[in-house]
Amino acid sequence: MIFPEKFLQISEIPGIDQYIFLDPKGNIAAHDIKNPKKVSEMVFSCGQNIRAISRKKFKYAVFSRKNKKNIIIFPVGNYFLGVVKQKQADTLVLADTIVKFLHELMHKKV
Amino acid sequence: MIFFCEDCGKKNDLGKANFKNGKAVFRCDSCHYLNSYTLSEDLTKNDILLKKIVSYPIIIGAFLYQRKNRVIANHMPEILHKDDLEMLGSYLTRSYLNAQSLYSDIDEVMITISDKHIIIQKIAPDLFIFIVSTTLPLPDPLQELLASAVKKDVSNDFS
Repeated sequence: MIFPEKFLQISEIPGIDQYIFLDPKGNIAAHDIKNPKKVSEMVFSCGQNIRAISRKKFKYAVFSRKNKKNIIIFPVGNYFLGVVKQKQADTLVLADTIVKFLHELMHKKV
Repeated sequence: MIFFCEDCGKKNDLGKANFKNGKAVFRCDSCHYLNSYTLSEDLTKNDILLKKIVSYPIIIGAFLYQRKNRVIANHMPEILHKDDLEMLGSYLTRSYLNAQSLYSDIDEVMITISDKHIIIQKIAPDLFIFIVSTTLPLPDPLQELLASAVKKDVSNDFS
C-alpha cells in the first residue's frame, strides 16, 4: 500500500483529537498522538483480534471511555487507523465520516 | 443455556423443557448421567436479563460469556453455532481486556461488522454480555437496563 499524502488530511476532520496509523506489522507509519507506543499496542492487538473474526466485513470498533475520549479502530487494507475522538464529538457521526474519508482515499484514482 | 455434566464434564446445551421449578434436569448427551442442578439466583437473573434485552425489535440476539466456562446463556439466533459464539466471545473479550489493561476507564466495546453492531460490556468480574443489534444507539431504556446489570465491583476508577 502506497502511503498517500492526502491521508494526513485526516487530522482536519472535525471531532478527531489524535490519530495513529499502523503498518501490517504494527509499526507506526504516521501519528499525531501523545503516547504513540501505548496506543499502537492497543490498536494493533485489538485490530488483529477483530479482523480474525471478519477480515472483509469489519468496519470499525469503538472502545468507549468514561472520559468520553473514545478510541476508534478502522481497518485500512492491511493497515490499521486508530483515532482518539474529542470529548464533545458524537462517536457514531465521527466514525461514519472517517469511513467515508477512507473509502474515498482507497478508491481514488492516482 | 450451557450446563456441564456433573459426572463426565461434557457441555450440554439445554432448552426450556429442561428447566422446572428452579431446577435444571437433563441427561448428559455423552455419558447419559442424569443431572439435576438447582439454579442459582444469579443464573436466573442473567436469563431474565437476556430475555428483556432480546425483546427489543432492533436486537438480533444476546449471550453471556464467561472466560472460564465460555458461553453460559444464549439467546442468539439458532443459525449461529455454539463454536461461532465461543470464537466471538474469546477474541472479543481478549480485545476488551487488552484495551482495558492499557486504558482502565474503558467500559464498553462496540464493533461494526457489515451492517450489524456487537456491543460488549463486562457485567461482573469474569462475565461479559454480548448484544447484537441492527441499529445504534441502543434505546435509552435498554441502556439503563444494561447499566443496572453492571455490578459495581467491575467499574474501574477513572485514570
